Amino acid sequence: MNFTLKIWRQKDANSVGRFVEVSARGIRPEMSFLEMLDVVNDEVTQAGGEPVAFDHDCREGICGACSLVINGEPHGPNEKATTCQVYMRSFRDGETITVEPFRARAFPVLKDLVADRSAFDRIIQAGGFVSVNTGQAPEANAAPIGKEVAEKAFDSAACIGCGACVAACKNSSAMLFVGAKIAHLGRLPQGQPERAQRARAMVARMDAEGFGNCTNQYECQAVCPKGVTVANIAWMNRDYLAASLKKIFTG
Amino acid sequence: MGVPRGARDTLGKLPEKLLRRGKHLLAFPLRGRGLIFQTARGFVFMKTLWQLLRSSLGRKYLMAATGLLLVGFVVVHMLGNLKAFSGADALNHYAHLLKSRAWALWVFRAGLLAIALVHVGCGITLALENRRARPQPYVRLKTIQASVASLSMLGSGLVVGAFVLFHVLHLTVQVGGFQEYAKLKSPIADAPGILQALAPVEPGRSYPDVYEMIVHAFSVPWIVLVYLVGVGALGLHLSHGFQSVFQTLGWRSDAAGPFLTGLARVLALAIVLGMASVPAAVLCGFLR
Repeated sequence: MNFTLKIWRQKDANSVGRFVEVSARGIRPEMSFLEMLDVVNDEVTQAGGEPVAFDHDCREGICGACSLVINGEPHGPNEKATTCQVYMRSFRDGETITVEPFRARAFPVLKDLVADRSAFDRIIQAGGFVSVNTGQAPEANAAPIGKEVAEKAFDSAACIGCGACVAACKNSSAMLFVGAKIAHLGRLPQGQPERAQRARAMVARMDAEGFGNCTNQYECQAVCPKGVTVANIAWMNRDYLAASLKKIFTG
Repeated sequence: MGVPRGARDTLGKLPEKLLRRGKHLLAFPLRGRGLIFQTARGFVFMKTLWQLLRSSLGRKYLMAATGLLLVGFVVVHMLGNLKAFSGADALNHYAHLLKSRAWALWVFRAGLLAIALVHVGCGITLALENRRARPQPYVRLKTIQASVASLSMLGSGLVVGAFVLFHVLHLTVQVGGFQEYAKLKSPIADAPGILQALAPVEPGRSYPDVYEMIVHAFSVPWIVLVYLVGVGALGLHLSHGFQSVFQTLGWRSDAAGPFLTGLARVLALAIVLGMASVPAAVLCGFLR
């Protein structure tokens, strides 16, 4: 298969970027999108050019490192798949594919297709610690957690922090990510001691990082590779309100 | 005797716990002894309240709460409008009730204005932040499933705001060419009922003739067009706004989502039909 790629090239964080057309020739349909970029980079390097920089790590859809907005969709056209799990058979032979980095003020582009998503790390840091006894692994039945609760907490915990929610949001809001993180620990008994403090600190950090505000359009849920739903945002809305009122009235 | 020991302990402790918590909340300003302690508490109180209201979520809560109150007003307003179909006396008597206590009218108007200003103020600051949050736009960003209504909230809101301004100048303040409306007066036939009990009318006295006013006003096609556009924008705004309230206040679950979406659309359609019916009926000659 052959493709024409319209790729965003940007020298560094302080430069102005632009689109460059690159042709990808002899691509096999079972190659992933990232493998296709590897082939393109091989050719670019052999021709003495600078390879296209892009984020990747595990390449099996669980680490959250890969990004890219492909033809206007974060992680490309497939539902519930990261870019590394999108295969070239999903595109038409000869198609022109637009490849952009995730764009948000809180995710500045460092080079080409690499956006700095460390704002997410700082939100996680703001969440602080969870009180867990150290030492031996706890006895499995010591903290009884209902099936329903465990499943819901796991659904929230499925978030891999890739940032597709921010990339897809018309407002660059990070509320699906923050909601998932707050709900994940907030649903479990281990998360209760610091629950209110964590909700307030993570929302404050999110605001400080310059993300936009949710307008309930739910585009984030539509592109999330892990199927994290906007019920997590509702959870965050409820938890943050309760935490704030608790702080206001009880100090 | 039949109650197990553990349960009895819990039951016994429950009222005490509630009492303690209640005291905690009510006695908050008096907690602690020293002036310094109380000043510090007051400071924490104000600071946390300010943090809440200034945060992204805090302003979203304000949007939701004020939006819900404004929806309530719109529904009552619409039901009031429909009195036009019960005849001139019914509508005029209802209008007389609303204006019969000047202090209540002005308290209500001030409250409504304050609620609207909070809603608009929060909406505009949030929207400006959203613009700033993506300085370099995409050349291409697909819209996967977001509704037209959800994408045009700022636009539909501004149209509704402009329409409300026009509507108030037109039928409430009656500026410019609309001053003639104030001269329309007629007696109201004395009908026993709740209206007469709340705001009695005297036989032989003349009251503002609201019915005649709307017949005059909506006989002009361009004015009807303005009203239909304004009401249409309101319907679009509410079809997304009303369901958003539940998400923002944390009352929406994944299972309830489609129901709430449907509910908001039904409500929006009902409001559009109810509101548009009076001007349309006048223009078509059903009301005269």
